[in-house]
Amino acid sequence: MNKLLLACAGLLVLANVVVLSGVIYNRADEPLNSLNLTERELPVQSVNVSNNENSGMHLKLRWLVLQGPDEPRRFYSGYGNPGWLDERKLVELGLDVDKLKQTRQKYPAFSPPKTVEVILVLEYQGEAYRQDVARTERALKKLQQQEKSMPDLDIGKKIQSYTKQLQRMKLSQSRLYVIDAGQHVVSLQQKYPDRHKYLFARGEISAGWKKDHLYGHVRRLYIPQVHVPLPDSQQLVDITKGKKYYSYGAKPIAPRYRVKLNIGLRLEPWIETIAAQSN
Amino acid sequence: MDNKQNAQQRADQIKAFHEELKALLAAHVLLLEEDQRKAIVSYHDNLLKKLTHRFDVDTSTHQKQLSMGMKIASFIGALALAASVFFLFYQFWGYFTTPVQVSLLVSAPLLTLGLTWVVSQRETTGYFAKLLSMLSFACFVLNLVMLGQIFNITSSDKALLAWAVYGFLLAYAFDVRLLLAMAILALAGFIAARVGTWSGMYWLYVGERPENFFLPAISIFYVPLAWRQARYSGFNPIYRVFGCLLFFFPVLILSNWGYGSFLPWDTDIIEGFYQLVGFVGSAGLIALGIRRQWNEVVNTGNAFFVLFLYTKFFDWWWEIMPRYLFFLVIALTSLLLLFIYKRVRLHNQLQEGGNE
Repeated sequence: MNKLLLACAGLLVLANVVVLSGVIYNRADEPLNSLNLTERELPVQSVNVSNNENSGMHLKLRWLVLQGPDEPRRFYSGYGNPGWLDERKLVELGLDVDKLKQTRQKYPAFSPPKTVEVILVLEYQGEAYRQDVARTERALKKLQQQEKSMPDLDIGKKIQSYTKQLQRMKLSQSRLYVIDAGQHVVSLQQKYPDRHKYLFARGEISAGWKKDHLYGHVRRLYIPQVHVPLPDSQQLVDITKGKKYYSYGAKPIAPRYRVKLNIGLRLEPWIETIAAQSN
Repeated sequence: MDNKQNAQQRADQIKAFHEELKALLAAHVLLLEEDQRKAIVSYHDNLLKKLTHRFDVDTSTHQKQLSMGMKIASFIGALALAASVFFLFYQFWGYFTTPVQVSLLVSAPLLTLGLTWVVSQRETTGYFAKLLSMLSFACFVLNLVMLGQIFNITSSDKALLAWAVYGFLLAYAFDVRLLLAMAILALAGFIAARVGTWSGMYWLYVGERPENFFLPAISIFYVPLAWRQARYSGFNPIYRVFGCLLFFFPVLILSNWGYGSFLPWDTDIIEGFYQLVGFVGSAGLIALGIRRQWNEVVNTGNAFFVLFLYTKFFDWWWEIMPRYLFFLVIALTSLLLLFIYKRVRLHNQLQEGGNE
């Protein structure tokens, strides 16, 4: 029994050494990315155990995709099909598209994996965000013109919805957009050298079918939320006065805090500082 | 005598012998001299004392009932204590700085392991040591899960392997079946996830490909055949039952959801194939259990055979039959199964009689 107990103790020590060494390695060098985000991109996450039974605090990383120009408008979500994630890109990321097509026709059940692990590139307050705002503005303008030229057309509610959405996009919605994906950090660093504008995160891309057309979408980020340690969590409570804000809420508000988020060598994030946002 | 289960069997045998002896003496079928009777009683008393001292066996019905109560209390206590540790940490961890959180998480499994060892040295029944070993296991699970959350670490299937190894070590050190079961599940999860990642799947979607569980299921079922577990009470049945569960649950899923299969066939063919595997496999399992006298295997095979049968009935008749007729068919099938089992039992009894 003593040998087994020693093995138990050894295992406990070894497992913790491995985990903590990984943490030290992740934060050892200069961060791969270091971004100043706000409450818009990192709102306080709702607790995942029943209310008041989890004293820990997390910030949810909110991201979006710029949908292709022909896609129907989807607000608030990352579930749309990004325009850049076409068949060529899926092949480049390692999905066996030919086999997917073959097996789909023959045996729908037997198919190679439709998902692939990738490193996602998220752009902060960049071209994708600006395009999305411009697109929504154009769509709203078009609707308003339609209403003027055809007063009988019942599009009042739609106009209201677009107006609200535009307000959210400018005031409270996340400005982080997934704009690319790859398999190697080094090549992505070369392509996106501005480490204060781009954020790399491990995630998953999947392929699906729309009739006979293959499309891709960003399935998820592997680390969807970031832990807030003390004393930052206390500071956050002081800034927000304990009130959580969700961008899905009825009335958008301006961000109340900014967060310096770093991404380490293992693509694992951590919070460097949190400060009140002066609006 | 190498484990508690065998010791308890011997104690029960002695008790039954004395009851039967009493009846034989009362019916004047057997006549024993007083000194012969005393010699038997004295021999058995000594043996029972030794067994009680070494294995804490129950020597009376009352003791057995109390032991059963203690086992149930220990089982519930272990689960509740493990849950309590989780919620206790969640309740207060936000008030600690990162170094304090890490110290607590790293030291908790080590301290509870030490405490388990101390208690196991002082207590013969082993109930408290088993309960504390469960607590240590829960602390280790919490340790890795919470370090992952605190440092935003990408989740990995390797944690399952660490938990499995720790579970096995504790189970064998303190003879805990519940921990053995947990270790088996963690190991099966790890193997299935690993096999899945080799085929390009993200490990957390392990449930999407039930066939990945076949390899761990067969390996786990094979363990007691390869390594005798004579010193550990009830470990062999745990391996066998979990081996069966890990094989037949995926078969049950695939027999109704062919899309989860790797097989290059049409979904209807895949489902039909797995239905056949389910019926033939569970019937074969019953036969194997009867042959090798593995009661737990017979029972598991029975349960799955019935489950496959009723699932099929549901598929065929739920939509087309009136409810009363559907349930009548189920009831009649149950009666038929009862009849078959009764015949098998009678056949076995006759065979055993013939052998004697």
